[in-house]
Amino acid sequence: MHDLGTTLVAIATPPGRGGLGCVRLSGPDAFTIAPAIVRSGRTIALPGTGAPLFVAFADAAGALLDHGFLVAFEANRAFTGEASIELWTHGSPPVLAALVEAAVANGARPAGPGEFTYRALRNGRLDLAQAEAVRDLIAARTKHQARVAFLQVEGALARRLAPLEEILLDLCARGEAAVEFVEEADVHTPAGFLRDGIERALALARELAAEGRRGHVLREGARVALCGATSVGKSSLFNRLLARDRAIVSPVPGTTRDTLEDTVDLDGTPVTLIDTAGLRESANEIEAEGVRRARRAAGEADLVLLVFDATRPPEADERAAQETAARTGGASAIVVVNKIDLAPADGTAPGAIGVSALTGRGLDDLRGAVLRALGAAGPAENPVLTDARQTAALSEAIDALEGARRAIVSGLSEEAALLDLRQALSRLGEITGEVASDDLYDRIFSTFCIGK
Amino acid sequence: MKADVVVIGAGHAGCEAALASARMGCSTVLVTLSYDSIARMSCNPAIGGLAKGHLVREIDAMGGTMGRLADRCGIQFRLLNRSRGPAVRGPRAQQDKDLYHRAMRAEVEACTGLTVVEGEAASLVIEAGRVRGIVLADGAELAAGAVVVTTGTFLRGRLHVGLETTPGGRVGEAPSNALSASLTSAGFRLGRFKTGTPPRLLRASVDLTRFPEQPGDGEPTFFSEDTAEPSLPQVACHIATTGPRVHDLVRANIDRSPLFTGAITGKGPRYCPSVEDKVIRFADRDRHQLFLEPEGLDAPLLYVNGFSTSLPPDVQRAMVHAIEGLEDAVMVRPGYAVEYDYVDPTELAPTLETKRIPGLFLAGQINGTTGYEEAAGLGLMAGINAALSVQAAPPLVLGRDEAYLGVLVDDLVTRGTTEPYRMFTSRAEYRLLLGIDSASRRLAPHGRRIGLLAASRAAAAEARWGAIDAALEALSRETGYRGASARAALAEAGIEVGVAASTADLLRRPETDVELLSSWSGTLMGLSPRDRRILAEAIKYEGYVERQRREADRVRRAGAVRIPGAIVFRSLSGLSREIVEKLEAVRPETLGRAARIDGMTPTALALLAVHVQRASERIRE
Repeated sequence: MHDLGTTLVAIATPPGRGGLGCVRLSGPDAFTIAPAIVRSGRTIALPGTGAPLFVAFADAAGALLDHGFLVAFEANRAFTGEASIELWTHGSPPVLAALVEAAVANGARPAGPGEFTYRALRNGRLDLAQAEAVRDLIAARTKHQARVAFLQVEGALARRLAPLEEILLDLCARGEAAVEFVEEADVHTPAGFLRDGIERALALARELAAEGRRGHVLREGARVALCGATSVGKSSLFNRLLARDRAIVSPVPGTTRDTLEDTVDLDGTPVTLIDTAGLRESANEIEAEGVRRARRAAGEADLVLLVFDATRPPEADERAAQETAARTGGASAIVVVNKIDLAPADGTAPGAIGVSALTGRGLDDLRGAVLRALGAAGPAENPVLTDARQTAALSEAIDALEGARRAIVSGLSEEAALLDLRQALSRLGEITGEVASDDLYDRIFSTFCIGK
Repeated sequence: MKADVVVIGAGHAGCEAALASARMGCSTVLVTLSYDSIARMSCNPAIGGLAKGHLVREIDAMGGTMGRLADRCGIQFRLLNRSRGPAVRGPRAQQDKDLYHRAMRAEVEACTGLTVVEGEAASLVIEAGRVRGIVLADGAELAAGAVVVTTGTFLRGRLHVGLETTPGGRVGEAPSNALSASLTSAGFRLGRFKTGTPPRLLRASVDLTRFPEQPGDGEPTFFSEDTAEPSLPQVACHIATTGPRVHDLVRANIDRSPLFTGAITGKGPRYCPSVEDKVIRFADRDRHQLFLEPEGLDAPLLYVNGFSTSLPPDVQRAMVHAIEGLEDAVMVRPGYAVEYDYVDPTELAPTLETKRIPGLFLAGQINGTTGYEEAAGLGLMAGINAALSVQAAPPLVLGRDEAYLGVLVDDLVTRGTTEPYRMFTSRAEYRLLLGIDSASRRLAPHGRRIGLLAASRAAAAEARWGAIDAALEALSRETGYRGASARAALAEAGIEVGVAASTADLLRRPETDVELLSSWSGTLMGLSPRDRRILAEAIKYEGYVERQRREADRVRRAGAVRIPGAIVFRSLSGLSREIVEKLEAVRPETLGRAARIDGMTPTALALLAVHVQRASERIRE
């Protein structure tokens, strides 16, 4: 991975048959390897003008494979920041594979996953946050995910962090000036300014952290388990939410034995629904195993839908079983009352959501409740922190800010809180991988007239 | 003539360098343009202040000279940031300038192994790439094992008063031009800085009773562990303010200020702006604070601190008279600006030896700094390392977590500077470890080891810190607050003594006064009030200090990875051109130093780490 001296080759388009396919070469020898695997009526001088060249492609043995285009990128224009070639052919897997083989025969090395992005990062074409965003863009499963990832590539994350960074830089500059230039009449910092500023920074940082959680759900998707007693209609609800007949539904209690999962796009958020066996004591070994799996699924889910039947009062053991299920993972839960089409109108308990898997009534309410509970509801425009590394750095910044507040409350001098503030700033810098290049003294000397 | 070490320049850097070298047993020659100008205070009449006072404490703790003399010549002592934490309290002392100069001259004269030569150092003798001595302007040659250059503002110095420009290093003193040419021809990158000084007033012409007084501290805080009380009578400073009339005069005459006509190209310090700068850059302020400071106990002159200017004398005079209370003041000498050459400090190794020419050391303003204290600190370190190199002993490089002296040197040689460099406490990322109280603890062992600090002082420091450490241990076990009288007295002071609370527990609370506890705590009773305060504060800031220590250790370990000297940064792919240029200029020896280069990003550093690892793997193969 760290070896930057070789030339990489890989199929850049998704696996499988397609209209077009692309093989990418990147590295010091890209411009010499490419001519060796193409045939053209003219001599090919690379990088040339950068315009696509119409060429024929040959395999390792020299046999012609296909026609297509060769596009050369000089280092400063290439995604990876080094000499690159893209070979566009028809999207035939054997042709693409043969081209890669031919490139390898001429000295290239097959690229590992993420290796092109790694090089872009190493060559300064991307910062860390951008590189992570590119990875997300490629892996995006829904349109919304793709858009958030795209915005991050454009540096939106850095812009989103800027106001918090600005507060911290200002606090550091004023705080340092107060400590450093005691005798300067121009340095007047109101009592409590540090404390007030820390509160503002904390509020902003917490807001970002909340967005971060939302970003995590957007990127990773969420797992939502349907749990409940037998024959409350979990599988019907599962099918209804997926909008297809994925699970077998029958009036026989205990039809669902194994857990079953499938993914649905809920307003742009990929949600994996898990249908589980109804919770009841069973002597049947297979069903008992199903119940164990159901409990495990509930424990591992981000959210549990506790499904009840509107036509019958929850039995004591049923409630106990469901409470156990909810407790297993500490995951949040939504109480869903199914079959409201069959029940009297006033049937739904407060806080519960009444639905009918049969008619579809209440399903929009349920979808909304699920998104809210996952923290995924909110304006879609906000670019957010989506990576675990980023959210961890932000939560460390919040810890540091809380430390600064404690230092002030416990009567320590400003220099202690300033240490925490610097810490918070450096954690923020880790999110994009770039240090804030702001010169503290520039700030101080342009804010205050220092000069005894 | 022949010496182990030759020091060029007898200012604050040169004197410390020469005294350190001679006291470490090296025969030393100090070359000065003028014997009457040894350790002149060319600018403000004070030593110390925040961060600067820290430096002087450290100089003293190592066995240097400035602290002792500044105590002896002090006519007003103030501890800045008295109400803040122990890390950011800085001592300062107004000086009798003439006495200080005479005291330092006496030190130099009395020092065994140190000879003063009056003359101009004209060029360096360089043989086989190594410095072998110097040649004086009269042709005399001085052979030396090491040469320390401390030219201050004299290197191609030019004075500006209004639009008039004259060559000079200080008012009335000729510059040193030949040496500058010698350094240029040796290939050094020279830059140009500027600094300024305010007008001086006749003290007898000013009625100081018309200004608010700024007295010194009742209980003075000294620089040196050796000082017990002030030697001289104590005086006050006074506070004046500029007003709209002064500002109008500046604006009306701004076209006669060399700072604004473009006559001065050298960059000046932002934290010590001329009054022109203050008025133009901060146009919304209608007043600026000034300090009227005596230049000595009986000195005839007053120094107008905060009023540095290079406007023509007639304008300066009018400006002085426009200040309330100075209407009749006699301006004896106008303020002026001085431009001078400095050597890009990234030319230096952390020993302050130039990388270009072994045996050649630079210290003081030639390294791009400003201030007596910074100069003295660099002089001390250069003198020490010059002596150690002659003795073929390992060099002394202080860590950033060890001393402001370490921060000073490391900042300069690693990051360089784009303006005259002044020390601030915020430049020290481990400043909670570097409070003035602990200077002797941190540095006395070094001073002793290199043979600069007297054995008696090193032993005293060791004994005292041993006792403080033992007391700190004892305080967390001491629980003597069961007696009714103790409880009652503490309760009255708002201190609730819980079950088995130790003295340390009580001291951790914001409301506890250490002096009150001392009546009951046997441990505290046995200590001086000063050491009691040190202990109480150590306990209060324990968490932060611990954290800084851990961080410092972590950075030390991570940064210790050596970068092979043969590495060609240009050939490493993935580094931006800007970073490559900086790496080539600084040529950091370790990853830690590379990390501190200005503009270094975590990504670039990670890349560098990978290259270094691969390079060392190749070497092993």
